[in-house]
Amino acid sequence: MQTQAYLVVATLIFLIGAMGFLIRRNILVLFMSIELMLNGAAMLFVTFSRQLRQMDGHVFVFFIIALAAAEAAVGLSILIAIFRLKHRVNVDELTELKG
Amino acid sequence: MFFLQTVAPTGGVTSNEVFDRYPDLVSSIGTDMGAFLPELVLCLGIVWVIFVDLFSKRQDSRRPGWHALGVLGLSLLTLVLGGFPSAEEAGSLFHGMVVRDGFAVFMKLLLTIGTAICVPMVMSHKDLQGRRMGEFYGLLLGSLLGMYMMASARNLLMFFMGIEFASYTSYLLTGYLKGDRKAAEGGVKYVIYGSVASGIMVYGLSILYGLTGSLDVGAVAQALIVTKASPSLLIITALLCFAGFAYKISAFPLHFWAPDVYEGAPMPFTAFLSVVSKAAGFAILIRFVVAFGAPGADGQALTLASGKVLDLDWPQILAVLAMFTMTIGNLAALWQNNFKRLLAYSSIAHAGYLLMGVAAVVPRIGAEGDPGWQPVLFYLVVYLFMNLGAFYIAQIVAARTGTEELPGFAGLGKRAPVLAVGLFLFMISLIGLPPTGGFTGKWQLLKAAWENGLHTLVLVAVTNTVISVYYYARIIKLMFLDQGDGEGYVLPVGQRTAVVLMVVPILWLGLFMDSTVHLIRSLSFAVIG
Amino acid sequence: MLFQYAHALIGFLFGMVFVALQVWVLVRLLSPKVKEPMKDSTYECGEPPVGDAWVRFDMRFYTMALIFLIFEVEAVFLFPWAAVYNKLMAITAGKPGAWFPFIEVFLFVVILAIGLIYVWRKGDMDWVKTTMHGRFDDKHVYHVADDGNPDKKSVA
Repeated sequence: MQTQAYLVVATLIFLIGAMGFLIRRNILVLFMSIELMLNGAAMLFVTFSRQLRQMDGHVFVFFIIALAAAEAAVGLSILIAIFRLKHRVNVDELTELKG
Repeated sequence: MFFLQTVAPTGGVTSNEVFDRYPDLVSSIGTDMGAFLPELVLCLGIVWVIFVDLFSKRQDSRRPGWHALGVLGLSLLTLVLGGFPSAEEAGSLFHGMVVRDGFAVFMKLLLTIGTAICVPMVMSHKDLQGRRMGEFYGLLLGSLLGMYMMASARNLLMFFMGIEFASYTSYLLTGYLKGDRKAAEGGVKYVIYGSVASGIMVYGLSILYGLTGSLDVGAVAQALIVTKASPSLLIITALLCFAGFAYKISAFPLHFWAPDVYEGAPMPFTAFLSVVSKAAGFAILIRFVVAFGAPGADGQALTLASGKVLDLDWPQILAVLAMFTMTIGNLAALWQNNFKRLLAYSSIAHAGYLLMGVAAVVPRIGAEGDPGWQPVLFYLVVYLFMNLGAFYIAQIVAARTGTEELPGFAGLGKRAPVLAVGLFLFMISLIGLPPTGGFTGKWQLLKAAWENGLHTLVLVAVTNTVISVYYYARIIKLMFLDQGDGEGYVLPVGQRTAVVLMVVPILWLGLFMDSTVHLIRSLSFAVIG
Repeated sequence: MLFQYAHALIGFLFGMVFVALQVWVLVRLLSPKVKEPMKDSTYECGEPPVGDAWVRFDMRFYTMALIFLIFEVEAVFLFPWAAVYNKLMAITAGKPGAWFPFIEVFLFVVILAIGLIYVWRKGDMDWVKTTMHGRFDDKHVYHVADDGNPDKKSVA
């Protein structure tokens, strides 16, 4: 019963992230949404790992956290590059490449 | 909730077991490191290449390139010296994190050679001159390291790490020319789509872990045979996991990033993405498919092939995806005017042809004897040379004309006959006409698909080939029949040699394919799952 | 069965009404109404605020923050190691592979240190950093770089 509550919350977090990705247009908010999706997955891993009395899932979560930070760094640095060029951070205004 | 009663603990490790197994684990790491030498060489090489550039007084944008070539050569050497493990010698390293089998070694060789061809392209690229390039090569080698992991991963954690490592470095390399609007935009699009694809995949992996209680791919597959989870949940999980692979090979539902990213990235890296990155994507897809098609514990149940997992006809699903991928790629390529964008759509189409090969093999996985990965691997080899060659020539032409648009190729036959003939051969090969490797490769793929009953798919693929003639032939017509402005020029010896070196394998694979086919088959492709 | 929770529901409703009463009604009735500019200003630790809170932050904060983010998160791998370090050392003591738990994390930290050296050498740790076109010195005087090369300083 308790496990299920965690699973529901994790799934909700993931879905909030996915919805945010689909409806928001600010690139920074998109990165936040992606972060939420990763955290939803991390929470599932912890829950399952705890339920199964194993360590594997916990280890996976450490790597998810580290990779999420790396992804934020990479994403933000590219975002700064585009902000310097366009002074906008809206995905709808990325129209250089088309066809 | 619907997915929860079915958790079955199998292969995982509890905290107390870790302590019991620890001395054993430590002692095996030393021996495993020996087999891990190519990766270690790359690890040190990344740091070396960056620091050589960082701590040198003189700025020279080519020197780290030579060092990167040296690192790649060393890695290649260790790979070759390590040899191809036969089916008996194949095994897993680091307690099942990565495998070492013939397939992994072959894919690593292919990826390293592809990267090694891209490095001179980077060194001669016009926009990448006059700046410090140590980071570029470091990231390129880092990407290759991630792809090594993808080719040999056996644990869901390594799958995830390999894909992410290869991806993050690719994001940075796409946006490497910071001042360039197209490059920055391509980088942003890549990072957004890529991250969301990997986010979806890791969510799928987490459900997979919950359902099976293990991160080891083999144990996951075994647990799925006996699972009592609801089929709808399994289908959702499979789709979520597939998202990561599909995005890596730019297959149908997740192909849309490819054209923008390919157009924005610097030309040598576009070549790298379209060939090396895609090959790594196929490597990990094949590994996943093989693991799930392996014979079950009772020796009878073939999970994928017999439809045991999800009661779905997997070869048919892959076939449909292949159909969509190749058709969408080819149709969209028809209206392109930018060379990189055209080759991006063409590479989507080729991902479709390769998926056709995978779909053809799936029913035979786990059966007695050779499952027949040879056509797929042969086509990957051909594709490596023909696509890199096309990009190489396009880069030389773009540097001369100052544009990457197709009209820049007009009259190339008169201006630079060597380039024009070379590009002509690569285009012929991309279409799939004799006497090139493109023909023999595609012929084998079609044959394998036909023999495995995917008749509709074969017809679609042939129709697609006919469609693709239109846009490849358009470039040929531009080069030889149209008048272009600009003066003729004599190629430097180095460039001429490079073009010839790329053309020779294509003709060799087209005319004398038997020796290569035998070689690939003999390299022990018992891919272990 | 659901009626077991009826008292919780009543309590919840009562709480909602109580809060609403406080927020909207009691405050209006009881609070003293003194208008002065200080009350409308931003709360900044009790000090009178200086300037607008909506200023543009220097780009250099972002670079710093990114570097911090990376190194900080890597520490996540050190915590589990620290938790089991003594036990692992005891297990491996005297056997082949003794000191392995130490060496393993030592290498990890060395790799992080290499990253730190890189950042340092690149000049991203300097508050006064070379920009694309030149740099500010300590006295905020702007010097134009000779060739606009951003890596100028790390060469010298």
